[in-house]
Formats: sequence, structure tokens, C-alpha cells
Amino acid sequence: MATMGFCDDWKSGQSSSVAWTEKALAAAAADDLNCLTLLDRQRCQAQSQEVEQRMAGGFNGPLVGLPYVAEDAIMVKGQISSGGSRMLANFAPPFGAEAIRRLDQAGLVLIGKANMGELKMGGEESSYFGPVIHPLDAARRCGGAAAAVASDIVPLALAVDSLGEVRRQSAQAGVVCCKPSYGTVSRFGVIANVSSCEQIATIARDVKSAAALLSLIAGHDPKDGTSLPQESYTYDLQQQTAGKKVAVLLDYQTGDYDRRCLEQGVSLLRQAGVEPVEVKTRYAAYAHLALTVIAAAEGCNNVSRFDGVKYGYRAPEYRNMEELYCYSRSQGLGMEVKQEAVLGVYVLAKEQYQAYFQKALQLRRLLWQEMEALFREYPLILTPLAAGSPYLAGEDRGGKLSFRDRFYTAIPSLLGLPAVAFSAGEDETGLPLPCQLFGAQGQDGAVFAAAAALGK
Amino acid sequence: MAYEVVMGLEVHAELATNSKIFCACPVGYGAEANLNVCPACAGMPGLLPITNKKVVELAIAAGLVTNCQISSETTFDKKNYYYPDLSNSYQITQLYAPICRDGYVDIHTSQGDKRIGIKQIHMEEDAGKLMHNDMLGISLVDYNRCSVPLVEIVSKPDFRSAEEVIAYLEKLRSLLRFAGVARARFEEGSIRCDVNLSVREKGDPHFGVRTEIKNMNSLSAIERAIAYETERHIDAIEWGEPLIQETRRWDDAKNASFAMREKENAGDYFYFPDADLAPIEISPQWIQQVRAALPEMPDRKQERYVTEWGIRAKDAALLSHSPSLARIFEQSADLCGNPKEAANWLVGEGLALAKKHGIAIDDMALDPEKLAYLIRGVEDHTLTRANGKKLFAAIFSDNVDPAAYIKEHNLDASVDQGALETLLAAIVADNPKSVADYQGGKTKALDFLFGQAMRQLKGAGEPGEIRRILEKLLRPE
Amino acid sequence: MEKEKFDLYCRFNKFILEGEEKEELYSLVQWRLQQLAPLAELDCGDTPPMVYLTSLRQVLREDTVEQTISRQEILACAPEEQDGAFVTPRVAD
Repeated sequence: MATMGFCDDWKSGQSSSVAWTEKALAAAAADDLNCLTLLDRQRCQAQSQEVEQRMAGGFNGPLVGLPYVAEDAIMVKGQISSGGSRMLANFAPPFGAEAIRRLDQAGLVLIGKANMGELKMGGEESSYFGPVIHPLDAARRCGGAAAAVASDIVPLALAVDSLGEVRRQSAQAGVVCCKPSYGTVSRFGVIANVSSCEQIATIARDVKSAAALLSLIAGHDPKDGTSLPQESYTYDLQQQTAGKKVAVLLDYQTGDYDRRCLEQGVSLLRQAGVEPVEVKTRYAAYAHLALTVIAAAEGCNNVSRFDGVKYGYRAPEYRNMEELYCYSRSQGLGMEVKQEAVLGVYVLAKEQYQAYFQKALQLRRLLWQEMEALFREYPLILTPLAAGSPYLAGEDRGGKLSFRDRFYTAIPSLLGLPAVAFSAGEDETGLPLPCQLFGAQGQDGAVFAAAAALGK
Repeated sequence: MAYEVVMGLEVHAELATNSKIFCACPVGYGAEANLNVCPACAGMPGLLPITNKKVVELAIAAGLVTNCQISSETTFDKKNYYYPDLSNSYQITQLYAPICRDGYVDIHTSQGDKRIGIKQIHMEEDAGKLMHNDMLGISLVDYNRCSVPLVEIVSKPDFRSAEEVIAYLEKLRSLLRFAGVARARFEEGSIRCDVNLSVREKGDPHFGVRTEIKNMNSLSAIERAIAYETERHIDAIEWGEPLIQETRRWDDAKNASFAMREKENAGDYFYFPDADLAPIEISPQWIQQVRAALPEMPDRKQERYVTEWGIRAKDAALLSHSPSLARIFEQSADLCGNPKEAANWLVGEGLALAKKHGIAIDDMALDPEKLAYLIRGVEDHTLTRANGKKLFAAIFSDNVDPAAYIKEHNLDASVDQGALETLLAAIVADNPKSVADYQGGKTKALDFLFGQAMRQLKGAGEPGEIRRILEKLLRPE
Repeated sequence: MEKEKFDLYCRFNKFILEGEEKEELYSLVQWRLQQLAPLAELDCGDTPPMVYLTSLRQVLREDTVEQTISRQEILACAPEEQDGAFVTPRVAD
């Protein structure tokens, strides 16, 4: 049986995949946070029974038999994969994501799909299925995958780290999120938003489980041209962190909240025998702006295929082709997606291309160079993940707050760096104070090990 | 006032691959709607493009046969616009780093030789097709052609006449076909040509207002479209009417071009690099491999036909124009050992028959072995030239077996030499008056005797041989 | 962004918006552009753009045909289908 110390709290003594699956199903049915957009009882019950049989035949592994949820942008064959959008609320693709296929093979059980900001472009209020209620404070908002793990529906989740919101939401819900280097996990079957940045990340209660889940989906996939050649990944969480130098970026000390997050993070580092060094950078404060421009351009392009012709939402009434396009897209896509799309066209139009899109790509290089230099001295970087507590209900309408907090999450997204997000402590109301550690491309194991050394 | 027309061409050719450029769907003509379609070319989310290696190799080959520089690194970009035949609402193409640049194609026209510059060649994907049903007021969308690989070959504005354009297109087609890059047939749309045209006063260093003409599906349509558009520009200039830079659609039935509806994007396609497609590295070794695999090109063939085989320059040009005709010619020449005769038959009979039956030169399917058999028959006098023509026509249209056909139609000209001489001697003996006339200097009398002989022989015997024997018999002792 | 340009970019995106919704979107986009101003004003000199995050060169695919998903499965997702084709209103040439 899979009792190697993974997700033990969640298992609470149970030891069969069928029991775990029933537990998850019961919790999902009782979910009052709106974590899930879809619950597939039949698929997961059949899957858990099959896994039991395989296990009886000697099949085993650290996470075998455990249930998980996947964010709705990660497509499952024959199952509605909406990406949190009305546009795709009826779309059941005839193929599924590579990550799902790998977890099927690894003997994990997919319970259902997690709610999310619309098409990864929208913030906490943008899902067509309504916002997700924060597991620690019902007045606040969260992401579906983080909430599903934080509320113990499942011990594990997959979510697309597009602009970093998944990291922020996880850390603010008190769970851990491991984001790999770009090119580690296949994007095949993931509804794309920021193609040049995004990766599937894993969420769990602890780094050990999240990293183990990641190693199951990581590895070269010929169906993704940006997939790195390495066939498989294991993350050594025992590697030495004490004695390493960690840079704490002064750029992120802008207010009380982010300072408190950093203080907590710094004190955790000190406890782990790591000496944090304060560093000021030249370009970090521009990272979220460059990311926003690239995200708008790529996102706009990625949602242009949703036109009411081939699949997805088609407006009920139209008199000609132009109306079919316009009504289907205007009704099928929400306000924040429209905002990104208009912005995307703006930054790509001939008149503005140089000032915006080209500039964003140039800044990406400047920041890359700056970070490379920094990593030579400091293999790890600590930053806070938000400017304030999780958003109150309705507060993020229009996406202004999620834009604000992109400031903190942008660098690992923009540069494709490995990062781990966690709660560094609690504020006076008991809400987590979110931090992240990130490192150079390919240093995923060292980054995750550092968070493990902090007791995460 | 003397005017000069200035043109540049954008030629799209579908590459001769088995599968599409960014997905593994088959490429083919005439398949039922959407049979050659997968989620990627049907525009579903979650799919990532993976480039077909053959596409890159064929694009390199296209660059080599048009004397281009091949880029050491090439990348793809996205071109955004909405149209129902474009399943992703963007086309993957190459803007910033095309695969080939700066080449040329040499052409020959009635005005002499000319070099046409190639600005660039880039790879891109094709769009699907719409079938309109006006009765129901609907369009049916078929993505079979979506993501079929294309090269776009962009010329410099070097053309000054329709004749140059046609010569270039024929030459380019021939190069692409010889190199195995493309089928390149206008009638099936596997090669398409847009013409950018402007008119200026002769001697004016500045270009006039440029229009782009699309939708011509034959060389003759291109010729007519150029004539029409040139006339339209000159009229506008002479009457002082403004010309607008625009795209115009050629309507072959109406023999006129019409302005296309302006898209709302005002000519901006919001191009940007496709981050899903990493750069492609093209090493000198790879280019060398592609070069080494190229067959002999038409110019070289033409030269060889003239210098090695003594073929007339005009015939050599015709024979080297089409890969299939060149193959038939070379093989039959080898088999019969007489390239000149093979050329004579193919140019004299073959091309005439093709024209008569409305068959494209590329579709001529003559079995070189059968042609060689025919040529050998004529050479050793077992087949008269006249009967050879009959046989050629039968091979051409019905691919008959020559031996069986000769037997069936009694075309065998071989007559026993002794019997022939006896028969001719008898004719001479029966016509003393003609003999006397001939010997008296009326050489025409020989024709009468020859006619008698031909009537009795009913087509057998070689005419030259018969004349030779008659002359010998008539010579005074 | 001027109103005309906003209208143009909405049209390009095939968005047709009225009244309050349109005003809201316009103000959101305006706000976002204000946030982006520091980037637009930054001088990056002639730094080459960075499009790709890895130093990967493309691995090309062999020219072989593979079809695993049927036309039926693809058309099953279509809002309207006829004779194996997707149906739209009559498209202007």
C-alpha cells in the first residue's frame, strides 16, 4: 500500500483507493466553496477500482490511488472542459491533456475539474461558474484548485500557472504550489493563455507531495514543441539548503502586507540556517508590465479561435456571418477576457508594436540577464506574493487586484523559472502570509528542497 | 504618352508532402469534406504545432533552385484575422526570419533573356475552403486544406510585361516540379499567383499606385487580368481619376477585376512571433544534403540535349520543360539509341496530339519502351513513317501494344527483297511508254511508276527503297 | 487609447458592445494602459527581443500521416453540421 508518507494527514488512516475516492467524492458533494465545475463520479469510481486491481498485482508508487482535481483548463477526453468560460461550457474535446494521461497511467484518480478565472485571463470574479469562496474566510475569494486542496476535498491538484495567480492563491490558502521550469511539463491538451510562459503546476499540503506529483507529469512530450528533451524528472528534496545565499528583493517591499510576508519568510530562512541578503534590482519592478503585455498579445491570439463556428458557444440569433462572430464572442466571453483581447490587439498593432510588445520582449531579455547574474551569487530568491489579503467578494471585478498582485508573481512566469509558493506565517486573523522562492531555470529540485527545508 | 507597367508576383505553391505542415493529417485532393482533419487543424484549443521536416526540406529545395540564400535559422510568426475558412483565426507564416532570401530566376522572352529577382521564400499553412449554398443562404466549411503546407515565393518588382510574367511562371513551375517541391498545377489550385501591379510614365523613377490582383486560376486568366488592370490604370491616369492602393479580385467570367471588401483591420494583421515553434536550425550540411538529392534541372537538361545529343535548341527547350516529358524523352532516347528521332516524334507528333486532345503536357503518359519500338521500326524500314504516325497516335490515346497493333492493322512494311524487285521489274516491263519518257528526260514518269508500285504494294515496303530500285531498273544499260 | 481606436480594436476582436458594458470595458482598458505607461516609456536600447524561454531548437516531425480522431468526433462538437461540413451563414466573398 502507498503509505510512504505522502498526504498522510489527508488519508487519515484509510488505505485503499476506493476509500480515498469515496472520501473525496463525499467532500466534493458537500463542497460549498464552488471549487469544482464538474464531478465525474463514474470516471473516478471506475478508475479507483482499476487502480485497486493494479495494486493487487503489485503496482505501487508514492501517490498511487490518490484522488486529485485538475483545473478546468486542463482538458479531459469526452468531458466538458470549459476553462471557466461560457464559450466552452458545452465543449467536450475528443482528446485529453498529456498530464492527465500520465496521471491515469500512474494510477491517480481524477475526481473532477476545478473552477478558475475565465480562460486563465480573468481574475477571481471572472469564472462563468461564479467565484470560488476562500476556504479560510467565506468573505474572500480563492482559486478552485487551491481551495479544493485547502478544504481537503482532495490532497492533490493540477493547475495552470499562467500569470502566477495559482501560486498566490495556493500560498494564501495555506497550501503549497510547485511550478516547474518552462518546458518541463507538456502543454498538450491545456487550453492556452500565455503560451510562451505557462506551465502546469502542482498543489498539495506539502512540498514533498507536490513535487512527487510534478515528477509524475514532467518529462519530454513530442506533442509539445517547447517540451525539453529530458525524459523524466525526480526532485531531491534532501539536498542541502543551509548555507546557501538567498536574495530578498527590496523591490517588493512596498507596503505593510508585503513587508510582513517577507519578514516571515526571512525568519523561516534564518531558522533553516540560510542567510538572506537584501538586493535591489533594476528591472524586477517592470516584470509584471512586460508579462501583462505578452499575456495580452498571446491570450488575445489564443482566444481568437473561439468563434462559434467549430465548437463551443454560438449565439442563438444572428443574421449573417459577422453577427454570428460578434454575438457569439460578445456573449460567450466575459469582460476580463475582452479586456485582455482588446489590449492584445493594441500592443500588437503596427502603431504600438515597438512601444509595447517589442519593449516587453526586450525587457524580458534585460530581466533574464539581470537574474542570471543574480543567480550566480544567490541561487535562491525570496519574494512575497501579494500586496494584501485574499480579495473580498466582488473586490476583483474587472481584474484590477489580480493585476496588482501580478507584480509579485511575474518573474518566474515571464522567465519560465521554477518556483515554490507557500505560507510563511499567519496574520492576526489567521490568514496565511504568502511567499515564494524561485531559482534559475532547471534548478527546480533545489528550489523545492529549500521550501522543504523551511518545513513546507 | 508612353506608359510602363511594373509588376511583382506572390506565388503560392502547395508542397508535395504526405502530411500537413503542423499536424499529421493527410494532404490530398478531392477527399470528402473534413475527412483530412484533426483537432489541430479544426482549430480546437490545447494543440501545439509540430513542423513537418519534409516541408522545411522542400522549402530549402525551392530556395536552391531559385538561387536563394538559405537562412541558418528560421522562425514562424502568427498572422491574425477572422474568416471562417481559417480555423484558428490566425495563420502560421514567416514574417521576421523567412527560410530563403535574395534569389533569382532567369527567363527568356521574345525580347531576350532577363533575370527576375526573388525577394524571399517563406513557409506557411493554407486555409480551408468554403462551399456556398445560395438557396439555403449558408456556407459549408471544409478544413481539409487547412494547414496544408505552402511556400510563398515573393519576387521583386521586376516584371514589365505579361509575357515576362508568363515566362517566369512557366519557368518557376517547371523548377518546382523538377525539384519535386510541388505539383504546381493552376487548374487544381496547387499553385496560385497574386499580381502586384502599378503603371507609370516611361522614365519616371517613382512607382505608380499599386493594386494587388488575386483569384486567377490559369495562365491565360493571369494574362487577361494583367491586360485589364493595366488598361484600368492607364485610363485612370489619363482621365485624372484617383487610383487607390487596394486588393482586387479577378472575375474570370466577367473578364474584369473588382475591389475586394476592405477588412476592418485596415491592413494590420497583428503579426507576432509564434512562441510554440522554437527556431529551426538549418546547417550547411543539411542544405548540402538537400542540394545533393536534387535531380538535374531543366536549364542543364536543355543544354545537354543540345550539346550532347544535337537536338535543336527550340525542341530541347520544349522537351526539358516538363519533368514527365523530359523523362519520356530521355528514356526513349536511351532505349532506341537515337535521341534526335525521339525528339522529332515527341515534339512533332506528341505535342501536336496533346494540343489536339487538350491534354496538359504534364499529363502526357507515353511509354518510352513503346516509343523506342516505334522508332526502331521506322529505322529498319519495317514500319513506314506514315504508319508510324498511326501507331504513335494509337499509343498516345490508347496505350496500345505496338507489335500487336502493327499485326492487327497490317502495318508491317517488311517485304521480301527478291519479291519486291520482281514486282517492280514487272511494272517497268508493263509500262514501256513511261520507261521511254523517263529515259528521254521526263523524270516525272518515275512518279507514275512509283504510284503504280505503291498501289500494288498496299502500303508495304519502304518508299525510299522502292524509288531506289525503280531508278536502278530505269537506268539505261 | 482614443475611442475610435478602441472601437476598431473591439471590432477586430469581433466584440459588439453597447452602453454600460462598452463604457466599463473602455475604462478597464484605459486603466490597464495607464498601468503599462512605465514600460512604454522605458528605454531598452537595441536589446534583442526574447521570444523563447529555452535555448531549444525545433525538433521536426517525419512526414508521416497519422489520424487517430475521426471526423465524427470532431463534428460532434460543432454547433451546426451538414454533409460533413461546419455550417455558417452565407459568407461574403
